[in-house]
Amino acid sequence: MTFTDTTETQDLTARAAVDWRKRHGRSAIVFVYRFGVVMVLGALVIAFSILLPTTFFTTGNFITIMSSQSIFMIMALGLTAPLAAGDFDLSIASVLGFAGAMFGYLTVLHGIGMALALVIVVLIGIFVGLLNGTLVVRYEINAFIVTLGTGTILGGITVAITGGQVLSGIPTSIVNTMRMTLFTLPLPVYIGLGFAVLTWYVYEHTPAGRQLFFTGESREAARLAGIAVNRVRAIAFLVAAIMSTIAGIILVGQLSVADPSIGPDYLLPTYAAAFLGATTIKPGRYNSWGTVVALYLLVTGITGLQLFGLASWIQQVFNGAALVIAVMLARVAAIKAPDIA
Amino acid sequence: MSGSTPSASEVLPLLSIFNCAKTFGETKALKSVDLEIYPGEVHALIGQNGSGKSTLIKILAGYHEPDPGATLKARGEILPLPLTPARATRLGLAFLHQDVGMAPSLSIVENLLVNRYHTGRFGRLRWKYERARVRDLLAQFGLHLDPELPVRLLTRGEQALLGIIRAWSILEERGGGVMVLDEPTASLPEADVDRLFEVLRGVRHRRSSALIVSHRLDEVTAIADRISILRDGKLVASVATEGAEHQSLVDLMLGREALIRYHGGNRTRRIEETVLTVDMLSGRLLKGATFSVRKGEILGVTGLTGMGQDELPYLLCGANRRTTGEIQISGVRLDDQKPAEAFHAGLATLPQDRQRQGGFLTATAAENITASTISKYFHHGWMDRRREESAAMQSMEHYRVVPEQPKRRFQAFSGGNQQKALLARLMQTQPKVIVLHEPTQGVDIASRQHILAAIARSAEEGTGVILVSIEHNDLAQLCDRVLIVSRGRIVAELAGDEISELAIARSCHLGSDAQTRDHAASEPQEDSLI
Repeated sequence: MTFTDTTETQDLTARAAVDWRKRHGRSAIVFVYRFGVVMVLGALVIAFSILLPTTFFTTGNFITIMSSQSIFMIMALGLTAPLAAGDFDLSIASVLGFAGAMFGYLTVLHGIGMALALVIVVLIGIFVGLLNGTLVVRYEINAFIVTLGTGTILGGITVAITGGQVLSGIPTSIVNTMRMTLFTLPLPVYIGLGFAVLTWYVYEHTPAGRQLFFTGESREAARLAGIAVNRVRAIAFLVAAIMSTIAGIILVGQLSVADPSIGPDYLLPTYAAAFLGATTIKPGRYNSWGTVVALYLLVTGITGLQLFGLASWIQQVFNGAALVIAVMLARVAAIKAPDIA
Repeated sequence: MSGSTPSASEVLPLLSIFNCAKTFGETKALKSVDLEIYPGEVHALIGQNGSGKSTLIKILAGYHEPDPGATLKARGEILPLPLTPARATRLGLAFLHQDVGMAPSLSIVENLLVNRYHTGRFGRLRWKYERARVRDLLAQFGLHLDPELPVRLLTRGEQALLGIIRAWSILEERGGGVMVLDEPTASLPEADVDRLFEVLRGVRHRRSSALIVSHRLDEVTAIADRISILRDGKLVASVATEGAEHQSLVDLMLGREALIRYHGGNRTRRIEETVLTVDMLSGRLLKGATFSVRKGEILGVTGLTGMGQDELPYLLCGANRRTTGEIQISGVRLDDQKPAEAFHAGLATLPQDRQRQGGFLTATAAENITASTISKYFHHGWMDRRREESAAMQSMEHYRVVPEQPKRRFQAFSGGNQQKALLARLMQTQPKVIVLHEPTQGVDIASRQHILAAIARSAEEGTGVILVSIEHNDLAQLCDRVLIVSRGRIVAELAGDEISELAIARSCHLGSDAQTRDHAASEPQEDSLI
């Protein structure tokens, strides 16, 4: 054929346009799928900044938001390990409370030196993690039940060693350390972000991270693919316990008191962040930056609403809603875009 | 074929759908398909994986909404689309999936009569009456089972038959309808396939029809009155089975795609030293298995379903606990219960259930392929993604995994391609021995040929292969030796020229009467579990 029919040309152009729209429509879906939570965070920040220029859009508030999240961040990052391996760990909040109380008990009530107290507390944290892992893996007991049990026991011991009292007189060296600032942000913020980088590195760039994901994805398949599933699961519990212990010690430094009743409040927000985090950046996988973004989304929403004058109950409502919505979104995304990894 | 196909002028179709199309995003899964099912016929719908069979069935089941323009008629009456699952049932459509959907701990009566009990006064269940009713129903289909038996004690084949009987009895109560069977033979041993077909033939003499969805042409030609062939979403032919030539049906099904046939027997064998020795291996069902595999040898292991051969792959790789026995790979003893160690020693396993035991569904194809060799791509404290993906890409090309997109999610691939990707994973570990459990189960013809060719190729390269399968055809094509398992014991061994589909089938059915191997004969038989 020596010439091109005009209708054919038009047809081709039209088809090209449709193709373009389809392709770009597709990548737009993929973009929203990956960065939806980030976009919501951005929208919230902008909206609150416009609506509350004097209270929300201030350096003070920014610092408060950043620093209030370091404990949650360390906890949530630690929690992603058992979750990624397919296990629940409900003991993390009790470990947090217990670590702080134990540190207070050793230093305040027994006058033990800070360094030694730190070593003892971390060793107990390791013991709890190993205990959880052993009971779940070796004796094949449901992780939910095991960690509910160990967490409750730790909660009891926490009350026992402190007599239910808030312990003050925590060594000033740790209090001062935790209050050190760099570029106006306190040290725990950097510790939290440091853990985020470490988690990101392990999850995304080492075989261990891949094995962890495989274990959670299908334990049976992972086992038959030659992955030491039991070891992976046990290590995940260990990681969660150690991270919670570290978070507990930092929290005592931040508060300068050991409060035996503080642990349980940390459970739900941590889970909400980890679940919401698994719906973004790397949807369908527990991932480091997703968890960080999710955490900031939650705190930004809550802070903004509180600055609007809503009472503190909004925190529970917001976290609870975020938890359910996060899981729902993950479900919808998995149905709508089954081939995007 | 005994049943004559009624022509459209004589009888109204029980069910017909015209101009049925379905588009998912950019892909057209179905393109204007017409399908008519007449009363009393067994109609087969065949096509390769991805040809649109399951899409069509899901439209009939009311799970998918067809594109606008489709027309559905039942007994000549036009019905509005889309269907809902509830309306499909009311129309007289009964669906039977691969997973039969029985409650394993409940009895046969309870499973057969879900929600259809005849109640006496005060809503009391008349158990005695129901039991007798069920016993009669089963007997009609040649099944003599105690209705009180919990379903979990039945074989897979019996459970499948029960599913058909349940669906059929529901249809008959409603005055007839179409029973849709999705790959009914996929997980059945051949003996049960025969029984299943016997039951289906019974359907033909009644008011109901059956629509069988399958990718196994050889099976459906034996049972169907008419065959409709789907290819790339189009209905390419709908022909009476009588007088249709097998080869032309295959060509219709595959289209232009060249069929790669593996010709057994012309492999250049380099059978040298022994790579695997198994001594007195026992598990739950398998008892005292003793055999060895040489380098480059393909050893088949088969038997009727439930005879214990299914346990072998998992005992070998250490996934299941063994009660006795020793396994050595090139002189290295394998410990029990440590699949990772078996991998390390050079024994790689392809499990039967690729969805649950094989693949990581939401992981990418590349991640699945490199799952057992991840550390190979870890350099200077960093995962080398580019090398990983290019290695996966190469594997995908080599094992013909399509589409060749390493970043696509595993679950988005068709069954045959998933299986090829898993085979690629095994071979990435450069194993000394591979243990394959039903590698061609539920895959389309082309993939099956690719998989068989890949197995032959790896044996040629010196890998010892253990092929545990009930596909006698596969075994006959590939194996150097075939072990027959009956009641947990290796009761016969076929080698070289003795191996044929017929000989394997015969040995399986003869079981322990067949030529008995010495150690099996000397063992006490009372601990048999079947």
